[in-house]
Amino acid sequence: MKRIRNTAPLLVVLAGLFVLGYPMAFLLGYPQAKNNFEDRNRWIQRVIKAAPPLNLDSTTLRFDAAADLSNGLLVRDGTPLADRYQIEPGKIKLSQPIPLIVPVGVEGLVDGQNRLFHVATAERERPLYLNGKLMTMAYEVAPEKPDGQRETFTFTDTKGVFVFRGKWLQLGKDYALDGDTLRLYEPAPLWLELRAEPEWARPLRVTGDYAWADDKTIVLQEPPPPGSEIVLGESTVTWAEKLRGPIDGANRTFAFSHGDLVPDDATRRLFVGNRQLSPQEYLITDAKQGTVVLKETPPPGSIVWTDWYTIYDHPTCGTTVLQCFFSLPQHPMPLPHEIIARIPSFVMRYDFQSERNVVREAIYTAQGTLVALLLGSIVGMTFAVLFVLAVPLERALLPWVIASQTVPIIALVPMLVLILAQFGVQIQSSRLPSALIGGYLSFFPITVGMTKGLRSVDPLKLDLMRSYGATRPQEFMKLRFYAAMSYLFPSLKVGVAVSLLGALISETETSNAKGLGFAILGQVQAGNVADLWVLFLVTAAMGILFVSVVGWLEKLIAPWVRKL
Amino acid sequence: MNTPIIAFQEVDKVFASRGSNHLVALEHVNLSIVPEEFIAFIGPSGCGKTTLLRLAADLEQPTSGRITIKEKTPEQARLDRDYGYVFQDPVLYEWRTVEQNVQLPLEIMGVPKPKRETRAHHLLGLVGLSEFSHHYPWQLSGGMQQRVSIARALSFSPSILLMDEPFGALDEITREQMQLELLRIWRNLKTTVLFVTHSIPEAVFLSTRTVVMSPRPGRIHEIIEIDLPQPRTVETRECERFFELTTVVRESLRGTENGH
Repeated sequence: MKRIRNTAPLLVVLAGLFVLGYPMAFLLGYPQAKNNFEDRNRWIQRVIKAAPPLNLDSTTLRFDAAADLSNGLLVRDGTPLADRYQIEPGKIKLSQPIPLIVPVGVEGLVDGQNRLFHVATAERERPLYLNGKLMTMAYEVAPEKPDGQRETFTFTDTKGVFVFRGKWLQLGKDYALDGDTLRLYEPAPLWLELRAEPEWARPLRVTGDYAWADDKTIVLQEPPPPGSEIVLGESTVTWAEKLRGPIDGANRTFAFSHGDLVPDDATRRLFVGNRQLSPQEYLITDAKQGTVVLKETPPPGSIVWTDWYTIYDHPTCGTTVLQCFFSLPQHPMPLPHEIIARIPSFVMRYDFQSERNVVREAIYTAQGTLVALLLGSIVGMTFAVLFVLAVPLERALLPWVIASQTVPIIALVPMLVLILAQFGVQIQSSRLPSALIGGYLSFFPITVGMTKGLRSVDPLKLDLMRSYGATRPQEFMKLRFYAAMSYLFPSLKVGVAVSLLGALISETETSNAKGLGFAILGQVQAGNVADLWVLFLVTAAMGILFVSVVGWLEKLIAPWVRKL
Repeated sequence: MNTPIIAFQEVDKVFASRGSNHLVALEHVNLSIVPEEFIAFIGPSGCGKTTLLRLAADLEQPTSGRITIKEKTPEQARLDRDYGYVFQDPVLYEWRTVEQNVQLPLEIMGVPKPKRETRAHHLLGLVGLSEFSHHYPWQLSGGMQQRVSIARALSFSPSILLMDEPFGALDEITREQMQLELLRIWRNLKTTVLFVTHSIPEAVFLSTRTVVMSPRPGRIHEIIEIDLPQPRTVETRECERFFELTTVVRESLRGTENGH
């Protein structure tokens, strides 16, 4: 019962911290999540394409059932066909057969394994047929730009074949997966040519039946079975999109069906009649709404159309800011369960033989802390006794004792290293820095507490000593020391905490590469936030443990203090 | 018997405080106490009773006048351990057991350990706390703590016992028991007792003479001879003379108020 009463409040606070950790982590991670959500460079881009026919005979073109045939026009090789067709659901009937579309062969081994095929033309808009069936071209481009060093690229999903620079990548040989992150075994080279960077300069993920791996290479999602016939249409017949807007000889503003255009879409193609407009001949005035203004007014009777363009589809990280928050590869403040889940792997990462083992690091730091506390106690108590014995000494020294604590501690270690090196002391391999820095910090509360303690003797107890004719040393040994205990132990609690701090600081500064302080520094430099938090927990636990030990010692050595 | 063991001659005590507000704690105090007397000091708060005791104990210095204890200065008397002091609070050292507390004065005097232990054992028997010798002060009741404090004051057999309201914090029942025990010890050990109290019946019951003091400045108002027969017992409190004497003391105390 008593145990429950003692530990319950602690557990309640722990649970509270755990729960509070989530809104806290969200608040701290929100700006980054929002940025990922809003930064267009991180969005998935989707190409809105003219629909190619699924198959064709001389007078009927059969389109994908999903294709929108309501607002469009039939185009063959960039030229709108005359209005001699009838639209029926899913297909178009021609009143007059169009010349035969001659398929072009595709080169590549059809052995049931190979996915990679070469074509003679770079015209990506041509339809690809596998055994007479139209295949869909769809892919996702990694948002990250290769810079010659980058190895990791993020995708919304990891399903499908990954393609990079004319090759399909093989898991385990070319890349590894970590969540939605693709990690190449060799850094992706930077695109150095002057002309615009093609999509395949970045890793792609094939999401449809196939994707272009470079200008003349196709990668299929599934290897075609042996004996399959893969053909590319010789000429293109597509159902292209008419831009919306009156063609009255005055209007120059037209609208795409889809908004949120990529304004600098390099692949966008606009036509007036059968003439393709150069980028200088039109201006995207409102990418959000998908509005374009032409330089010259299209004459009445002409058609303004496009066969494809790229839009921003959705953010890479998710459809809400919250999703983007959870998909952050690393939260500025990790989520509490992430930290806790990290503990076992963190502890087990190195076995006990290794110096990097966290238990060994902790033991090393604990030893430094205890030596520091011992040093701080000796110095602190000596000062206290001197101050109480000789008040002028206190007046002379106390300001310096206080000033000593305002010195930037971080500057002390390099100074110590320099000074001690002159005497041939190899500071790197010893606990001397921990002891000196920790002791330097801890002697102060002990001096102050002990001085106060030695002075705060019950005056009646002092009168009693006087009435017995006790000498000054007797008064010290039999009364003041014991009376000071009730101040000494709280000071020791502060002292042990700052000793730990001093030990940690000194470990980050010296190059002996040991202790929790060094481990913390390592994680800071690695930018490994979750492990950093685990280390915070470890040091916090150590601090609590040390302070508790002082409390137990107090109960053991000076049980009367709690009875006062 | 006629040579006084303690003598106050024209003793003044002024406490200097901030500014010019000096507090005159004692003025023109003259008092002679012979050995084996039991003197009770009674008076309203601020009449300097405690100061008088502290002057005798060399815990304060008189501003003027002279105090002699066994024909020595108080300081010499203190160093010779001529008196034991008992405060209103037990003032036990919490880190020492009951036994160790009683031994404390002997330790300071350098009495060898076996002798100290015998002495402590004997005294704890005297105050009826033999079974509690290894307890710590906080494990005892207030009355028991005060008995330890008396045993400690007696440990080095001082010829004078200075007691500053030793039973002030005790309940009535414990207090009356303690009074009886104190009288028993006083008779057995033949010490001289200076006893400060707020209680009229206590003063009358215990003392051979009761010194009534008046406040601001502290002076001796009247010294009343308490002629109750010795040894005093439970019945003493019920006899007529006891009530007469308490009335005398009470009226004398009332006089201290009217006098100023």
